[in-house]
Amino acid sequence: MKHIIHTIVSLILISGIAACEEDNYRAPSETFKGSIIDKETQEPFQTAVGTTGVRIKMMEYSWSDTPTPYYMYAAMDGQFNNSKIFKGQYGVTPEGAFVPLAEESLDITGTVEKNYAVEPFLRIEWVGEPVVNDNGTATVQVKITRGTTNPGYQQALAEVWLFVSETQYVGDFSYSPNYSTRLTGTTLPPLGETISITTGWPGGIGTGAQRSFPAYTRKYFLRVGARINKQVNSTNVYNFTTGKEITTK
Amino acid sequence: MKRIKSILTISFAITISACTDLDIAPVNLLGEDEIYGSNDGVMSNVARIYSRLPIEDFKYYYAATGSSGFNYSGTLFKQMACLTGEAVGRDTQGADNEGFSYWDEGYSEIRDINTLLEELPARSATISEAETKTYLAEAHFCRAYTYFALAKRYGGVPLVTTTIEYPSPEGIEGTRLYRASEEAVWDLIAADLDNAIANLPEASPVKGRVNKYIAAAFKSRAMLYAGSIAKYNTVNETQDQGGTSVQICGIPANRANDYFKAAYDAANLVVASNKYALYKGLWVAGDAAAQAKNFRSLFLTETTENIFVKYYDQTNATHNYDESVQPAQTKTSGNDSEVSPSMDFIEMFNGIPKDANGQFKNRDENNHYYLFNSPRDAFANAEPRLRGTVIFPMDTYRGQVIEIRRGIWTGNAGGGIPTLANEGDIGNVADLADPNLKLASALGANPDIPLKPGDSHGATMKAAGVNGPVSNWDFGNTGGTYLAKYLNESGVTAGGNSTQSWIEIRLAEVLLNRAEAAYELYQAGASGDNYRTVAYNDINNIRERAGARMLTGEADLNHIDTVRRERRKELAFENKTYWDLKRWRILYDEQNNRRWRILNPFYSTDAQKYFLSVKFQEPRGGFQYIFTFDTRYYYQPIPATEINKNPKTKQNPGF
Repeated sequence: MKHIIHTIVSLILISGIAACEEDNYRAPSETFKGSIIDKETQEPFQTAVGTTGVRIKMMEYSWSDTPTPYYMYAAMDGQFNNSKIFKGQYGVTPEGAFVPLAEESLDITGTVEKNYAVEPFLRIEWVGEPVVNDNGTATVQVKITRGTTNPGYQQALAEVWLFVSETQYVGDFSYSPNYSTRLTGTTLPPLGETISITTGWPGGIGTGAQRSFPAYTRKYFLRVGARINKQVNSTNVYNFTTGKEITTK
Repeated sequence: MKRIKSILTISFAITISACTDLDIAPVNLLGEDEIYGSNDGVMSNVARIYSRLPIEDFKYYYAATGSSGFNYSGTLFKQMACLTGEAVGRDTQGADNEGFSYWDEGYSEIRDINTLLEELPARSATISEAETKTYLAEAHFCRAYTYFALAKRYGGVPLVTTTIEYPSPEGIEGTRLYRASEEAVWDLIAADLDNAIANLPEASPVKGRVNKYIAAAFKSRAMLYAGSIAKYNTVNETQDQGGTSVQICGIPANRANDYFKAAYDAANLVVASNKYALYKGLWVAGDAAAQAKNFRSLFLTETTENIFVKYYDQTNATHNYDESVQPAQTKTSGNDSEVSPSMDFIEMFNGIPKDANGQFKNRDENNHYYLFNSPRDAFANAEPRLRGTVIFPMDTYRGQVIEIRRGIWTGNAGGGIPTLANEGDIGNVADLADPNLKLASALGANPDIPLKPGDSHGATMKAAGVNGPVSNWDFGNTGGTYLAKYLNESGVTAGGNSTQSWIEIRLAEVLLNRAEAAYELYQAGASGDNYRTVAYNDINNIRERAGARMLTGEADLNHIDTVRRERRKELAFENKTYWDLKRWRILYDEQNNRRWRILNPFYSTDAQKYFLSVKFQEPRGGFQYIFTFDTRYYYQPIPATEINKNPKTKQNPGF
């Protein structure tokens, strides 16, 4: 009896080992990196992080004629770097708050670096530095202008935000619902002029009471975002200033 | 040994002789012959098709994460009404999207319908011609109903109108279909419903089954949806399908009037039949209380206003509506208080004091609170329909005064009660450092506050009443009100024992469909009828029954928002508004960093009266209750597993 069991167990083990065959597809190791820059100013393109920011669509045509799109996202300053790309032939299209670019065929082997010069829908510049007021608010000045003359992207301004965040990651993807300020409808500013925005109106100016920062001193990060009435991939996408840091009184 | 051999031989012989051909139909499975060969068989199949219709009723749970949120057992926590701002709820904490994907379930329903459409005519010998005709027309109705559920979620979807052979003769490729254009899907819905309208009988053969006018009523809803997409949608996604460009999301704008006209005509058919009437059984002209009672009882009564109803009863199917929505005060066990109508909703109605911004006016010019003997007095003159929809603090339900109180204020009220520090603002009342405010941290920690000698309320009063709201995460009220619509006036509420039936379509909706389609046609300058007159009359008929202020003349009807607002008031809490906000494409405009406003009743021990504070829904349990709709979800994502199975399916934009 014991003999039979031993035989059976040995057979199972042998067949188990014989079934072992290296069946791993090699891990992706190519690098695709670069940045999105403003065509006119040559400055880094300021964007959100995630689905409302810059999404780079990669279609791996060397794998299939109808590949499942692979998406990678850019950082807040428009830089992207992905070191885990499968080697192959890709159709690459960056998408975001700028005039769409045509799909470009890229051979990704080793390290491929690519910079995209884009025409943003809007260009938002700081005018001076943020001012921390005595009443627990802060005021910034910015100027919003059109970033493109392309007639397809001259829609009206739809929303402007002064995003306030407790961390350096600030934008529509991460903001304080208490201290940020939203401009919409009749409170929307004109284009091309220097405008002031004060913190603390998250529901829109005049909605509820203006919120002030807590009584203790701490750091906040500010960024102004604006969008026109034009969606990209059904998503509201903003153009941004760079981030600024303030310390409350 | 020899004997053993012979036994074995005999055994083998027996075994072999026992071999007969075993290719017989299994007795535990019903084949097509059984199903389509008898009236009973077809009837049971049709019943199964009906039972799986994607009806967003009491058992629809949008947050379900499994395979389906329809016919869900235990819709106890998140409620769809709280996604629209009509109400706040403890467990609806943000602008959620559907947790499940209605796709697989829809196509298996469509397959069953298509099989019926193909098999039944082939076997008509056993079933009478009239019955066959009705069954087929019902199948067309059900298919339209199912495609409607798909189209409003995804836009264009693969159009399957025949039973796909599986495996297909062309192999797996033959089962992979492209998404049809969104327009084609809506046109199929229209065609299926036209077929149903033409072939269904005047009256339902059995209660719960459809008739000609149910199909027409549903058509008015579906075509209004399509017209709105054509007019208001801005997402136009196309796909190259083997050389042809197909618009899988969006409908050409020039089709809008076709669809509005189709909605208008279908609604006309229902109204002209004179089979249905707005329910006025308890309605008395000039009597607000009777009108409120009439509106409330509409949802608990089988009335002539009901067009298409999903019936519930103790024997066959029950649901959890009462258990989810009921006041904490009247519950025996289980959940409570998941739907509390918001001030944003209440302010849509006339008959309550309002300031220049249209918001509830709770303070005088010195910023002192108005005082009331009972908080319900502030709403005494509110539109009867609102009184029939909402239980206000201290209203009576199930013979009990529903005591809703945020707290007790013990300060000196001599010079008037000054505005609380965070009136109209964000934050939990418990965060206020006001020594005069006595609050309850939880229902189980609800202190007795001494009252002034001689107070008619007695010697002490519970800080947060019986229902709350309390400061911490707990059961009990969260918004100062309770929902009355559909709430049972008697019977067991715990353990999913609710049996009120779901009115999927009622005449008021059809009139509002017609009014909206008519106003859109009027705005577009369409000819063919006095559209504005029709819309005006429909709105006023609804308002008369509601006890609302009437439009004084046709000229009063000068904006689409008048029609939309009427719809939102009349059909609130019937799981229609969410899709209305979507098809009007205004959900993002309404829900962008939005908090809903609530009512906080406080009792003043000094004044021996109540005052009503309004603020944003209070943060509890770490939830901020901020609503921001993700615009991508105007078209919901197609489940990734379906795209893996069929790479020809193009995902909706943004996903």
